[in-house]
Amino acid sequence: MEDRKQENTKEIIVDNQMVDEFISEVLKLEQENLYIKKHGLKEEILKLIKSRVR
Amino acid sequence: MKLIKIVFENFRQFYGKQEVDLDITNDKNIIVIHGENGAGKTTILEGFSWCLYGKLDLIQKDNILNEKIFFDLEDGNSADVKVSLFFNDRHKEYIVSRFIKIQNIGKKQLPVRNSDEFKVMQDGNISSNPKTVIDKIMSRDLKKYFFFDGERIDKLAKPESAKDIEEGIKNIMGISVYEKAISHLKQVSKELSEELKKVSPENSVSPYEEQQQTLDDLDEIKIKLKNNTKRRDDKKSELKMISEKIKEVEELEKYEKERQKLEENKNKLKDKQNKQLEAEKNRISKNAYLAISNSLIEEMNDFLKNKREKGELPSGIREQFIQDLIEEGKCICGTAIEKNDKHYTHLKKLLENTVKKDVEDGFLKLNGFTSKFMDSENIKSVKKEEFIERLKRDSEEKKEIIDELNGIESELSELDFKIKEQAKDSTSEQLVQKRYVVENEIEELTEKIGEQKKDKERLEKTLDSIKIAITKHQAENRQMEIAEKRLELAQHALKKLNNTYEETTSEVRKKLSQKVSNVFTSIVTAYNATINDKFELSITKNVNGYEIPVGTSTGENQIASLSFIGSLVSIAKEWDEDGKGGVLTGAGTYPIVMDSPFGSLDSEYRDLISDNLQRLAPQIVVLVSTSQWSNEVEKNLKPFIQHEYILQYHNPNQEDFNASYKSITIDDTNYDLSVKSDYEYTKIIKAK
Repeated sequence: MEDRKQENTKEIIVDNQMVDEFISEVLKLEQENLYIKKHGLKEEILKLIKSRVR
Repeated sequence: MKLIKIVFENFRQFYGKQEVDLDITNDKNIIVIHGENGAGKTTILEGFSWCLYGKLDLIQKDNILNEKIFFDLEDGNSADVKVSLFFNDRHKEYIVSRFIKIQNIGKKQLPVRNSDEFKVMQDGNISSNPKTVIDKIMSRDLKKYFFFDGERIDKLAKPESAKDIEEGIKNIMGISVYEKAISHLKQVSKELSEELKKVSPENSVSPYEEQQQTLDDLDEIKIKLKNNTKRRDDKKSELKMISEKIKEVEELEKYEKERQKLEENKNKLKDKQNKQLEAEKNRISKNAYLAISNSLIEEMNDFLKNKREKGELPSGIREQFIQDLIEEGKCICGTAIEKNDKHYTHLKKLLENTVKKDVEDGFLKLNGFTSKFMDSENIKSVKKEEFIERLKRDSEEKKEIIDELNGIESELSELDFKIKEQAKDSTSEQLVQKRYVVENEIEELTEKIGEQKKDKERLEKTLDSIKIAITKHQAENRQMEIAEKRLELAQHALKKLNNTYEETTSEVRKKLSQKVSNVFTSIVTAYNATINDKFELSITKNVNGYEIPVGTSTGENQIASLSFIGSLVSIAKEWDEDGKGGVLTGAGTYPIVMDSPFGSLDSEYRDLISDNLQRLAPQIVVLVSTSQWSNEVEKNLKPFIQHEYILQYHNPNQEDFNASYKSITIDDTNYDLSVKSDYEYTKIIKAK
């Protein structure tokens, strides 16, 4: 409970490392998608952002 | 990708099963296939395309089955067409085959429904996703650069093909991954912006919305600016060419040389003027407020001091301190304070003399600021008189430049008049008129660019102030903070990706341009070929230090285009060897398969190309007719040929066939390129 409370009040920092990691995940998704066409890549990227920032 | 063998089965001219061995060695990397027009050279080129991608670009799509087989088919019956390609790639063996059943329906070739089959065997195992495997080895976007018709390839060196050059560079880099990521991130940013709006308090205006709009506007203005700058650059090049042409006219040469010199001086002065204006702007924005305000601030300091001495402004006792004593009912010395006693009355009187808290705070802040300002080094170093003196000097310098520019302008007008008069009624009159038109166009474009630059600056300033607003716009709750941070992540990633994309494209263009130049100048020494920043494969000549675009022949264009393709192959191979295959999806080893590599070139360029062909790619398959196969070409290629094939055309109307008497000798054996036959087909004969 306490952990959760702490988690909820922790400041979210969008730093260079987070941006770089996110970019490489996006590029990986796009690269896979070049050969195997997936639907809703935009939604995949949204999911990626939401799982990183919550 | 190293080609090993291609096998045709009833594909177009090729009756039955016929094959071409494409295997090469490091020393002998060329395969030559001889054939006259109509014998099937294009069909071989298309065989690669059909087998790998299921596409036919140049030949009739509805007659894929060999005609002899088709005519023997009874109505309703079907026959098979198949092309198989054997190759190696990154130490793996591949067999790719494409198959289709064709039915005779009322003397028309129609594919049998669901009969088509595309199969890829990788090291003996059938791949479950053949299309993906092929796209990874050589994406279909790249195909046109490595399997092509040499007679059409020269068009790459024309300005209108800049898009093809840019695409080639981007595809070989696998840049489409970046483009798609950027496009998706833009959509994601918009969506996150909407989400943030939903969780923001209703009455607050979201700066994110404004930011998104400003970013969109900025994108738009950047595109306009880029296009107009490109148009102006084009016009400037055109102007240079016109000027060079005018100079070639004997009676105008003297004036034109003088004019060019004046233009050069004018440009130098304009540069000087811009630098001077910029320096003046900086001086004013940095120091003007100091020079003007220091006396005012001194005055204000004296005023505040005076007020404080008169007790009209805080002198030490704060309103809050007295309030606290009254509420507490006790002095700091311990004396009790009763309502309406003498201490209480004294404190109430004091309270009347104190100033309100906000005035007090304001005073303290102002006092702190003015004291700091008066003590700062800046204000001491900027003297009003000196500053005004400097402004006067700036103004004089500006005037001098303007006077000098006006002088040059009037000299130019006089010269223009002389040139116009001299050119009157001569062929150069049109050139002079054209120059006038182009100069006006440049002027108009410059005005537009200036306005757009101002718009861009304004939008960038707006963005800066929005960023400040965003900082102030603190998240009122966790939900809002999360939404803000998600948007921040998307926007930062988008910005970074955009930068990387532009930097990488420009870096690769420069690297390729250098390679193109090296290959081209090793063949054509009089000119240079580069890929300019507009992605044009441009052929230029150095005139007085300027690279001036020159009108070129088909041969020069073809050499420039082949240099570009050879450079693409070389850079893709380098990346593959450097292990960049994972990031740059175009990295790899590519062969070149080209029909009519010498097009309709004159013998000089044909010899030059053939002499350099072997170095263009690790594996080269050329399809040639006898008219292109001169002794010199044969001599140049011979040491590097691994296999040589003949496409022997079997012709039922031999007497009517133009090439009926042509033959070719390879290693002392004579081969007829056309023979009389009961039915029409082409036989592939291995000659070497």
